[in-house]
Amino acid sequence: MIFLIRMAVKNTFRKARRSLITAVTVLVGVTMIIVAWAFLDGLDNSVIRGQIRSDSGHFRIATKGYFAVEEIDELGPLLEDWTPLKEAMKAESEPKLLPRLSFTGELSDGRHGLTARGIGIEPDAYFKAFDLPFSSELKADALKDGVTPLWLGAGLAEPFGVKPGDTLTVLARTRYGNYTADEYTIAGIIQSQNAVIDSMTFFIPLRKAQELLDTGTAVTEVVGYLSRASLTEELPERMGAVLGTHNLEMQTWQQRAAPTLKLNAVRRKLLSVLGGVILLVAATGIANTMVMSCFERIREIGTMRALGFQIEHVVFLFLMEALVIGFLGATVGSIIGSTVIYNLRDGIDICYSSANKCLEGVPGMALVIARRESLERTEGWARSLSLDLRAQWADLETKGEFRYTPPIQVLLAMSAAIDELEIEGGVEARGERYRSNYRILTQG
Amino acid sequence: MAQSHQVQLVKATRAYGTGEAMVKAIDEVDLTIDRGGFLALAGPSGSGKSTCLNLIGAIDSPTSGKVIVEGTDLSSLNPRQMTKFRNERIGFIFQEFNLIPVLTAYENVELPLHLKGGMTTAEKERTIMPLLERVGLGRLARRLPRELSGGQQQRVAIARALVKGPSVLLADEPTANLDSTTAREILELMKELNSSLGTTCIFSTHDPLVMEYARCLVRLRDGKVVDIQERA
Repeated sequence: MIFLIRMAVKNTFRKARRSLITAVTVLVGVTMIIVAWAFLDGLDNSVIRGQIRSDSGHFRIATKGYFAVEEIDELGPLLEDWTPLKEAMKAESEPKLLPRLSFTGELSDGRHGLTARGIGIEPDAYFKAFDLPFSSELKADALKDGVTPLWLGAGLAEPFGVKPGDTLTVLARTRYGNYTADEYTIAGIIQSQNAVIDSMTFFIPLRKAQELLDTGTAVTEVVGYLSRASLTEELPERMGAVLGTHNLEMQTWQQRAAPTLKLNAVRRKLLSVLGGVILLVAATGIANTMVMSCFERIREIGTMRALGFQIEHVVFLFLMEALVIGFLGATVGSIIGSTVIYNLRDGIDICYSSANKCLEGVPGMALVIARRESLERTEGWARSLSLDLRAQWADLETKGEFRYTPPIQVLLAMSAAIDELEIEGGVEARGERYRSNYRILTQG
Repeated sequence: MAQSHQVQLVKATRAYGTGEAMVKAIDEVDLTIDRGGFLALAGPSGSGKSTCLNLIGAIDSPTSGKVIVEGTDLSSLNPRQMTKFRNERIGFIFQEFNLIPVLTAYENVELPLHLKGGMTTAEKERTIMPLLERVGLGRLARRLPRELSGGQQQRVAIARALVKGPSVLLADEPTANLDSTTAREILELMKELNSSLGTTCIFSTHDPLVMEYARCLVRLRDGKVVDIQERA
């Protein structure tokens, strides 16, 4: 058996170029399938991430019937008093609850108008909970008293040609159907990963939105965050009774992402068919090569048969040869495919550094820059009670405190070091000083 | 009576095609070959030499009549059994040597041993190396066929044919691709093996040199035996 396998491998390299070309077809097929598959995985992830992190959180709660009409109604059935929810959800490992008042409004600069989705929010809590980076914003103290801030997606800001500090008017209809308008000062322009936010959403403070739409204390929905995304799985079931008594309904991120994920599933199916076709072409290539080899070796096959090789021995020999070609192509294809994926991944997950590297703080403190998901995933991994980055981060987020006695002198030194960096002229200037020091050191 | 003959053809006929187009490659050939024979089948091309060898070597079956080798009626065997029979009882040598080009001389000889298994590497080596030395190729065992001369290749083929210890060695025009000096060497070698091992050797040829060496010369024409010449 081993002898036959060895013989098959030797046969494979008899016409090395032909075998190689055949293997390349397999290689290309496998590489394409791997890369495309990973791309769809990434698409799925970004859909979920975009949904959770920039729009609808882990779950949303609204008055029954709201989710069915929210896309078409200007306001939809309102949630008059959401405070009982706070009590009811206490058992659910302290979810973060953020009320929203979503409505359809028209943004106008006096000459042009654009219909958009307006959302009233509690700005401090909301922007802290959601991943909605500003491409530009007003400094906190630049907002004059008496004006109302408005944050809008970059795609909405562009047609108006507005920047932070400019004003826009919002036209809408109150819950009673009357037309209403108010003027807002742009406090920030949002450039997020979510196309819906960027191209058609603006935010105003909840209280102002409630005034504008004459809704009193009512909101349209409450958006919630749990400590882990997977906790939403059975949430609707557990909350069923509470939601029922208040005539509410819940939508989890899984339900909300379903249509997009379904679309991706269709894409995946299409890709599978395509991949199948590619592999079929590759298989045909191998078969073709094998047929050629058979014809070239008729005399050899005859000799082997005369020596007492049964038909299955000869068939095995050729099948092994095909397998070697296929295996070769698939292995190299997998390597290339994974290398491509590896290099196309979005960069660094977690980066940590000490305080004294070029920042010139004192030792005793480390800086960590991490992707939120990467950090969240490490829950329970720490083998030390105090050196638990995930727990420390969570405490800083919720309580704003260190879990154990903080190294105050080190923190103050770090703060001073950052001040010094700014006084010196930032990273550029410091880099120049290091370079000149280097020149003095090496060249005298 | 029948037992004393190692190879026996009884009214053996091999026909191709049917009806008007039927051609009989051999036609009711009766032939007996005794153990330890050194026999040449001679005749012009198309006379039926190769067909006779194919029938004796269990490569082909007669359309009528019988072929009995070592007491086995070959027409009673199915294709799988025929293959097994070839592997165990018959050694083949070809005009074109027919070595497997990707295998070394040693591995070519090793090839028939692999079909049954059960032999360790050391046992194989104890079987193969003496054979290669016997055909004068002990030092060239690791060479590939393309690195060997025609005569050397045919010696490898002889070693390969003998490795399973067959009782009959069939050689289809073994000297046709060799110059006369090399041909003579090959024939000397086979004659020596024939007398020392007692292996029956059957040639098909139209080389006068082979006929000169043969102890029995069978002349065929148009599928029929026309003359049998026994020599002392």
